[in-house]
Amino acid sequence: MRYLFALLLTNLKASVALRGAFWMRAAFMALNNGIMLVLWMLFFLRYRDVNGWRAADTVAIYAVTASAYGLAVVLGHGVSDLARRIHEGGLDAFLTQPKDVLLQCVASRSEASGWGDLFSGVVLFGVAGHLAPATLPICLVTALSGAAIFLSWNVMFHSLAFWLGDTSTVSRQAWHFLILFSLYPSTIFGGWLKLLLFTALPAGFIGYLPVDLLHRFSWGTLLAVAGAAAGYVALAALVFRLGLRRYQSGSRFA
Amino acid sequence: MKQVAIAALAARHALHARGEALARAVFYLAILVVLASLWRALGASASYVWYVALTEWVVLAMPLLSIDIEEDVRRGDIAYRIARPVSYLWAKVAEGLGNGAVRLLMIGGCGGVAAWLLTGTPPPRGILLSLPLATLSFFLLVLWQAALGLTAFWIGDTQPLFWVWQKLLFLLGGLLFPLDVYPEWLQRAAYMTPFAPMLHGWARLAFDPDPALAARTALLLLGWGVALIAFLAWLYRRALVVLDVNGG
Amino acid sequence: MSGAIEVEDLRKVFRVRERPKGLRGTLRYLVRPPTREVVAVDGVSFRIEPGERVAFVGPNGAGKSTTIKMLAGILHPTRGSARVLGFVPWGDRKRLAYRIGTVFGQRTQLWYHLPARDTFALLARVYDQDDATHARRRAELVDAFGVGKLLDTPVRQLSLGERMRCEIVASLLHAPQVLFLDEPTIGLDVTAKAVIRDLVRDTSRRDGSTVLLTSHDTGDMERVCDRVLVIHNGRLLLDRPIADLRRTYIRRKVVTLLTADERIALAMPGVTVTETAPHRTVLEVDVDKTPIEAVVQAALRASRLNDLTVEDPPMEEIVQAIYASAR
Repeated sequence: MRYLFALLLTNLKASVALRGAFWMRAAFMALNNGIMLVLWMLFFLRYRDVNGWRAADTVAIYAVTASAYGLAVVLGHGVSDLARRIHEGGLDAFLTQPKDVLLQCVASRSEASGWGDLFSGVVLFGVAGHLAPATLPICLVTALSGAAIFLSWNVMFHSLAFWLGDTSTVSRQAWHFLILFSLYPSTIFGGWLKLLLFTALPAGFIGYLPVDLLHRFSWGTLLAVAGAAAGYVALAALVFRLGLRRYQSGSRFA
Repeated sequence: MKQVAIAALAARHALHARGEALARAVFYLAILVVLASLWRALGASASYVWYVALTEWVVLAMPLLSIDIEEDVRRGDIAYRIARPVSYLWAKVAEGLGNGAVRLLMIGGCGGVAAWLLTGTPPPRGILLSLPLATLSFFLLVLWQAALGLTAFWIGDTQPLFWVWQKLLFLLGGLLFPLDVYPEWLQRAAYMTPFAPMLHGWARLAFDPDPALAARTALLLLGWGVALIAFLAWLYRRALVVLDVNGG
Repeated sequence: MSGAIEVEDLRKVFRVRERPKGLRGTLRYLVRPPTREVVAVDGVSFRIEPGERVAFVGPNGAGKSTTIKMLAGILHPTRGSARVLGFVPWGDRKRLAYRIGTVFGQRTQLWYHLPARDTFALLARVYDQDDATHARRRAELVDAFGVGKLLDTPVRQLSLGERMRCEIVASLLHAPQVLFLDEPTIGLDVTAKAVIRDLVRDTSRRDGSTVLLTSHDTGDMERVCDRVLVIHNGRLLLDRPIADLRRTYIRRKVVTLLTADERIALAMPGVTVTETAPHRTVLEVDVDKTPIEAVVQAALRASRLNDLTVEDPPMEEIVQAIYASAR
């Protein structure tokens, strides 16, 4: 709708308003990612593969994760403020406007470094040869669903503040957790850990399955990725709505 | 000495930040689980996990002094703090050390227990030798944080610089894998930078508790430490000039 | 005809969880958190007609903000009912939101790093306003509030007074029928306060909109509103036109004399000297005991006067008196 478009545009405008900081954040984040990739390439120089996972797979998982993360923070960095706003009553202003509260909060900020991540993602997709017309749509779908999962997971994590009070210091770490598991060779995880990565900590849907998809397309996997994204979004919306009802009943900490 | 009092106060504050400490400990655990899985998949020895337990311990405990200083500069608080009879810079370093010391202690135990459980082997003997060096290295990390924070006087937003510095530390200091994984020439190059002694220099004692190695690292750390202190002092003087000119 | 705001026995009880103390406390807390009840609003009823400007006055924690939040749809009440423009606020939040405007003094709805113009443009989309209507309304308000030159400056560079004016313009762009203002003049200097008060009053008169204003500052009350609701400990103590308040509650006047003599002595029943300085005396007169003319005549007899002022006591006192009488 027109509103959503206007909201995202305003968000991006605000991000660009501080021009110097914008470019520095974007550029240095790209550099940041570059160094990490060098680190991994050195690793693979020494160890050819890890349970079948090779250098090319790490390039792919970085491409997917960086694009998804970049998209998520460029459009929805406001989610990082969610726990704090919940605790401080900062959702009030959103409640008085005739639009969705969660949307307003999530789209209230944009992180400039996300552009650096997006850039890294695109470059890495290119390096891995996935920007070809056959695989380009997959790149887009995985980036979008990854972003949706990142944001949904964060929303749920931050929403704990509705019930637990001031979780802002802990909630801010939420990103780091998900990313951690989304960047390592997925083949090292087995058993219960693997289960975890497809449920409570959906790094499997952000990194592993998309990489699988890029190297070996299957409709089933595509459906799984898109379906998981939709599922997490729905779950996040539900959790938030339940929490909001509680917020509106006004229970607070002493 | 005033700095000691400041450090003690910061330490007391850190003891109360329990939520944060918990989050950091859980993250530390997560990293160890991931890396243990990695090394297990490669059939590597338990020492690799102990290595990471050591490097991550120090890196995760590092206080984000740079953000602190950046905020002081942004808020304009800095003009008032400089007027006090303690040098702002060394007061901040003291704060960082006090804060960081508590963080080191709080997560240290977790790391040790986790590594033991994940590898099924007790801590290697080299750890004892590495501990004093770890503390020295930690001191350097705090100095680096202060230097990064001071750049706020010129660039305002220090985080991008921090990201790159941190990744260089990871790469050239060998955070996730010991530098021995790299080709020879790169290992030598890494030791020409301050980063390698700060992590790999002493964490490698987990593999090989060689006192000669320890001594060499100690010398390197002391050397870089002195250089850092001199650099910091110089940077601070330049920062004060900027403050004078711009008025905070 | 239905009122703009109708409140019937509105009640709000907060369940506050006590922070755990010590180890035992923490363990108990994990099993079942001890809670205590705080009655913020205790059965409040009132009715506001369209076009009225009403002030909600009361000390901190009296229940003002809580009541406004319930009326704006932010909080659900524990008991009781309310209707704003015919809607139940917490039930029909989004539909009501199109018709109300809110200004919360401590919070901003303007995007901090952008010029106000950009927030205004976004608000047109928020309230689904068509471009023509929006442009016309914006021009009117910008003109009335004198913020034309400020529109292109990033909000973070504006002074508090300037920001507040933009804030109020933002809340009025969609021509709301009811405007809720929560501490709109907090932190502003005297001039800025006066400007904002007049603007709110004039705009409300022009638009025919209803205003519900909460404030600590009785000046806001006096300049903007015609009626006042006094709240204390969650209860409505008073619901009167402002003019009535003075007449009923304070039967006192403040008389300031600038005299040719250094000192003046006036001993009359009901007359207390509150301030003395060389050539200056301030008296408080209980007009029930001694009419003002008698005091003025006595003063004229006692000394040559350079200046004479007769004033009502500050509204603060009136309000304090009301709270005191409730205790």
